[in-house]
Amino acid sequence: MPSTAMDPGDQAHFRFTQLWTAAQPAVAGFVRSLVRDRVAADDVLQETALALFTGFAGYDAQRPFLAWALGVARHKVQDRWRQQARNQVLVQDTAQLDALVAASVELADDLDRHRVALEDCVRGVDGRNWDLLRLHYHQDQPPQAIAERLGLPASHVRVLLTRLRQSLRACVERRLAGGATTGTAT
Amino acid sequence: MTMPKVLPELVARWIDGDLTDAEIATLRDWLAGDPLRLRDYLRAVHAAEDLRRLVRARAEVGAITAGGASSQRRPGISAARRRRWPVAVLAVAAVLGLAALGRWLMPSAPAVIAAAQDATMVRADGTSVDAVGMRLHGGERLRTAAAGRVELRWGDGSSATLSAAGELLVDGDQRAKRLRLITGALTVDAQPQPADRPLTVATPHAEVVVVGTAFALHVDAQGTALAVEHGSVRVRDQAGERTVAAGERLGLRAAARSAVDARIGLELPAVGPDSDELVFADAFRQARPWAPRQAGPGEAPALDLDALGWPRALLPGQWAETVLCERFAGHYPGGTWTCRWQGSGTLEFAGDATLLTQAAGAAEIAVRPSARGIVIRLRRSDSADPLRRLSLFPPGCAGATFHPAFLARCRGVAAVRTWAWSDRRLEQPLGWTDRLTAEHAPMPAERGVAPELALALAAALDADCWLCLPPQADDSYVDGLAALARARLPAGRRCYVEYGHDLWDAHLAAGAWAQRQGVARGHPPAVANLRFTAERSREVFTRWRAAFSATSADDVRTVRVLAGMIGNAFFADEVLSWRDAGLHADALAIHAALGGGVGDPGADRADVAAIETLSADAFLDQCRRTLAANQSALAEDRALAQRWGLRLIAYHGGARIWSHQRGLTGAAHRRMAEVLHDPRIGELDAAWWSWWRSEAGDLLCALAPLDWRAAGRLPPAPTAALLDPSAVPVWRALRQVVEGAPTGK
Repeated sequence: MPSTAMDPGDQAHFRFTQLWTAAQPAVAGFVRSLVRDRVAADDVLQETALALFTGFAGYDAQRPFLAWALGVARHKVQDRWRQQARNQVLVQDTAQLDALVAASVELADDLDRHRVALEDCVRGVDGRNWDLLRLHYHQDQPPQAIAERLGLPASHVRVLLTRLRQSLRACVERRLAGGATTGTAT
Repeated sequence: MTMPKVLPELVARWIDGDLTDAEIATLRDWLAGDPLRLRDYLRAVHAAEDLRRLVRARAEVGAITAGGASSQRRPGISAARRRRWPVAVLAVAAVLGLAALGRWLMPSAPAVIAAAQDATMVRADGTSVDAVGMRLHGGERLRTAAAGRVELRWGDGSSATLSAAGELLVDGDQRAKRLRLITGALTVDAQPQPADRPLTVATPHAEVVVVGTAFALHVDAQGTALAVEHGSVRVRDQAGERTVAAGERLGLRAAARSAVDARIGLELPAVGPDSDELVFADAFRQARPWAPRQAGPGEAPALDLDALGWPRALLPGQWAETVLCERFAGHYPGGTWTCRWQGSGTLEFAGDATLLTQAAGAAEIAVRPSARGIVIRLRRSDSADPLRRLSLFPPGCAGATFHPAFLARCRGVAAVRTWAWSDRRLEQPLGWTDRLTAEHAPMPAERGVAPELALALAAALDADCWLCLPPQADDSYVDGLAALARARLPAGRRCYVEYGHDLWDAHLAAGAWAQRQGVARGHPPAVANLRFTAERSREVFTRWRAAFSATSADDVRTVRVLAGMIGNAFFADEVLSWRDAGLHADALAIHAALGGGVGDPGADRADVAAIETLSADAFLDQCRRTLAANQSALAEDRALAQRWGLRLIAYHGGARIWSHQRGLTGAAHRRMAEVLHDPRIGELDAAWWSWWRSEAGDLLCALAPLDWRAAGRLPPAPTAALLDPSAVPVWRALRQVVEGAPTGK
């Protein structure tokens, strides 16, 4: 009778995937807060994941995985800073890095709830507002390009995007406070 | 407003790269003021990133749903549960190990090389690396041995396996998920793809657009074989687009396919006062530029012209004059012509024209064609409301954009190539605001034609448009033309984009200019024009994509062209190879003329006399030799194009005659034109196009039959053909081919 149990290697992979899946949003946000360029941030995240995966055999299961992952990500960010100019970076010194690691651990659940609320709020966006969001965030169109496409002044598009984000933030706050039950953004 | 209030918006703009240096400094100082502020900052970053991710997820799910795939969420599942990864998927991911990481990390990230055996990855800089675990970026290529294989996995769970001495390229433009299978076998198991950014696999013979399916491709010298296991794919080739469903197989054989894939396009004739035909319904577009005239001796002072070239005001005793149609030596339409204008002034008609009636802003004139042409004199212009926007329509043309006879002659061509309509000036950079518009007064021919008119012609013919950007076009010009093309080109029509024209030929003015640019960039003179062309073409293609391609459909209908000359693969090889420009292109275009130069530039007048008595048989022999040479040389160009995963197309595809002889006489010019009128030239052209259709099988742009100036660099030639185009052998051959062959639309 064939065995259905996973071999030890597969078990380790499975465990790693579970842990990384749970930690990835927090690590991604942490990295993004320190690396403005999106492609560079993606690379740092990828390098972090690879380092975690290859080092997983040495991971102490008694320690929180997220803290370990953030520690690795912290080093990867510093490696990136050494390679590239960081004049666009907002947080720069070691103490701030450490504070961000701590905050990422502390706020992980809170940020998770925020994400769920935002998902429902985004679902409530429609019409021209959805077109704006889609063009800007899905098709990576800057306000100028959106303006040309929609026949609006670029400044108007910037204002519309700002109002839309404000509206989504208000929607999230209402949801987290147990207020509105339907997503909305005007 | 306090910082905590505006922080989320500032962070959102920071992520967009939309903050000023001053704002960044302010924000940085504020964050440094208190470690607790970093918590708010982190929340803002997460919120901004979550918003982007959620919008992308909803857009892609919406797109898939709209496309008919079943990826909608099930109702009744809470938001909290929805965001959890299904256990079954996790188990699969665990088994896949490292390869699966990609899908959790970045759903839209480049493919990760999950496994490799007897395979190499070649980076854009030419270095080979150990492939496993690497992300495959634009410009990189994979090769496998005959028994080797490479497995790729994307973040969305799609996978592909390359094998059988396979070679696969990743398109140089990372915005697109485009692979090029040069040779070998590729099996793909794709998840449902977003409608606006599907995975596409191009082979030398077709393009497969993945919807969400499993299929296998095999490419060899004979063609492309496709087998769909489940789902369906869309296949595009020159014959059009079709869907291949599960269980179906499709063979696109290199030799057999061409009978239906070949398309004949048209090299547009140069337009100006020396053109051999009326291209526009408004004949005034082909008038000579306004010239100053004055009563009495001496040279008239220059005209005071507005930005569009219309006289703004006239000095006492001065008038502006122009003439049109004198080039046709009487072979142009007579009868009652209609003149329209804006503004206020006094017009006088002379030469072949006589005023019949006149009202505000309009006149009717009687035209009796002769070699004098239609002379128009602007005797007075109201400086407060200058006379401008003058137009002049032959009978039956009022209100049209193109002359009906010209449109009828072009009808059925698959594409129009617009080099002769491009701004060919080389003196200074050309910005978008410097371009000619449809509102301009007649200008020297070297300024070309307003780009909107070129696109209007493509639209009127329902043809693809092959735009040649002026060599001096700056970035604003590229952006402007791309936006205009996006707005004006009919849906479904392709836009071919080429930087310059014949820049590989440093003996021509544009090629010599490109050579100077290349030398200035530090390239050796022997290859300077080629390398400059490669570099600038890459820049142009990148900008074009950004401005033209709002969706993957726009990507697909953009054909980025790099050019070379048939029988001289060195030019094309250098252009394609330098900085891997070939990876940023879609087609290799070869200059594929027949015939060529007569006379000897280094000889004396005795050779001019030889041209004056040039035998048609001798020139036909020359054409036949180039025809045979072209046929044998094509294999090399085809192999080059295949090596880069490019389509092979051609321009200037027809008989040409020219001479660099000094002191060429009118008699020599007339003889060259007569030779080109020989009926056997048409037969040769037809033979070349027919051979192209059977052996190459993609777009070939033939020379405009009446464009003797482009065909032979001739001065005014006999133009009886204007009234009887069927008498021109080359034109007759083109009509036969166009009417007898599918256009591939």
